[in-house]
Amino acid sequence: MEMKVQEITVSLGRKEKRKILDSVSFDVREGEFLSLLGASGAGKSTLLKVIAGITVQDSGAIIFDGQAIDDLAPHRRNIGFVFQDTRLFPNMNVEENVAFPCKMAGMSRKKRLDHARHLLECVQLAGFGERQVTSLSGGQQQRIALARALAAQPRVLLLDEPFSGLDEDLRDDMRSLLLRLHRDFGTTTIMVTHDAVEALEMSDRIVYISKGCVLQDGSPPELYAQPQTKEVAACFGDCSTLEGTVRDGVFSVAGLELAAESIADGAAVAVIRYQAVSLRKAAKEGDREPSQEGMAAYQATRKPLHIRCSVYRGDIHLARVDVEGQTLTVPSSSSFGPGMAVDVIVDAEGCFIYSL
Amino acid sequence: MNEGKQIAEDSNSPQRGHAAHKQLLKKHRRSHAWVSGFFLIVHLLCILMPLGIIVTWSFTASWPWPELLPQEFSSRGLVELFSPRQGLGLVLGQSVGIALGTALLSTVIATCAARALAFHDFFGKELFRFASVLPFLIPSTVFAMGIQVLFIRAGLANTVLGVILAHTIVSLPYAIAIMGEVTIAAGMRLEQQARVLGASPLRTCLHVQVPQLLPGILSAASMVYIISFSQYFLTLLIGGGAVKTLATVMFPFLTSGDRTIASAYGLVFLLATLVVFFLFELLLKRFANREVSYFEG
Repeated sequence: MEMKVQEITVSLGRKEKRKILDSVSFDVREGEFLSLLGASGAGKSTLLKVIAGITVQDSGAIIFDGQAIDDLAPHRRNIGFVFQDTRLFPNMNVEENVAFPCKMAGMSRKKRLDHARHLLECVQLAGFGERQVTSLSGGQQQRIALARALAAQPRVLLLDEPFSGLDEDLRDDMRSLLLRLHRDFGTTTIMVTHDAVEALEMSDRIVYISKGCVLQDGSPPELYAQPQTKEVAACFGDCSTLEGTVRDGVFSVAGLELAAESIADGAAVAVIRYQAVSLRKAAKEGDREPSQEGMAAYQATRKPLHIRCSVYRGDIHLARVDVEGQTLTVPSSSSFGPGMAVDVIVDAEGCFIYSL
Repeated sequence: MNEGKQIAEDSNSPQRGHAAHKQLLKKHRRSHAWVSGFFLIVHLLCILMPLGIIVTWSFTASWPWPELLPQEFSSRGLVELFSPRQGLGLVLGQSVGIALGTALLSTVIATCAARALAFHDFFGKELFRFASVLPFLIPSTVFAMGIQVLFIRAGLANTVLGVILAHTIVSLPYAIAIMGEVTIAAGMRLEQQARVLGASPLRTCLHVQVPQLLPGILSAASMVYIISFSQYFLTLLIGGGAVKTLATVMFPFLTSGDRTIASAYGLVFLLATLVVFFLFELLLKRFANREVSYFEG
């Protein structure tokens, strides 16, 4: 199903109205897996609830296949919804839970329980039908919630941080299970997540939301390689953020100079990914090579910087370089001692500069 | 425990300290047993002794002071109780009927009111919340007068329906208090989930909310039942003598000092309550046999 979210605005709060969503728009294509990415409190879950009809928007429209569904009650929208906290019905056993949407759709008892058992097989829980939901582990409960959401062949599957309550090792299994279900069922899916790596791994497209506004809408490689704001650039983690100034296309702070073409003069911020920087021992005065701008990797330091400390992280060490009180973190295979003078080599590909 | 730790730290050898600790624990356990034993005895004295006295009195003809035991036994109480003149069956049926009706009405209203207070914003909500506990604050004798005047005008005085309505007013605050807590604890999580899975509001109520709230609903219902069942003054005033319940029939025997018959009625009162509570309990077991968890994330 094709879906359009058009200029959705939502304000909540009793006395002081606070805008949770501010004119959010994007399209979802047929069969697409779309992630709504953003920090907690950005309004992603509220948006999901607006699509489901649990929260009513102040203005804007949700359009399913060319038809506005804003006047439809939640139960008439034919959606599947998996909440973070599973929300299985404690007064029903596993297969009754999975069959619930079919029961609501008027399917006969035998037919819907057969269907539920088939779905339980799909989520690798064959034979669990008669069990009580409280007797199951968190991962099993989440898989049942997933099966239940898919039971009535929803037009769109909405997932609200479905894996954040699970252990790390379980999350990977659940992700591949979800991707397989998405491939097999072909259901248009919207997943809310604050985990940028999860969004990269799973999505056909990512919509980045911050403070109720869409910051960027694009494919995972687009968001990763061409982040349009500092927040999007930093959301993938493992990066340092430095504040400085831009003059004549060069960003500088404390002797560190980065190419910043087409950035206006003035205060700016640089997001530097770990893998885009490396260190070498500072060359003696006079031996320094001039920085070669325009090349992929170049020496960014006019004068040596000093190591503040070094932390061990298994396969690598992370050297914290002091940049006038700010910190630049650089991975290295060997440990650098505190106080050591170093030069920084920067790869333009993992280095993003934005005007403040 | 703290004392035990203290001793363990004071003593030179850790083993000696350990032994002392163990001994202290034993002592604590013994004192626990003593305390719980004490309360058990107090409990028995407060509940079982009066009960025993009631049972004894219903078969006693004379038990003059200062005799410790009844002097003369008789079956007068039982004979009187079951004599057709008393119409025990009718009175009992009417009492139970009024109490069940009140329980039903009160619980339904309380469930709706609790939901409104918990999840909806409306003009005058705080006033409504205050009004819901108002019958707590006004003595029932005072507001019974007002109700009586009103009910006479409305033609509800001297009717069973009028008595049920009056009882509902007195018992509502209790029911709302219980349902309020349960409703807030249950929250809207499962309700939202049911709605987005295609359940209409009515079916959500039937398949999800009522099963989830059932333990609370039954507690509120039994609370209201017992309040209604033991109402005397209100029943007398609104029922005007035309509506007879166990409490109103029993009361004259109590005031006139006929303890034999009063006690016999007391026994019936007790048994009727026990039977109905047993049925409530059965209902709870039957319909809420699966674990209902309010607090699970």
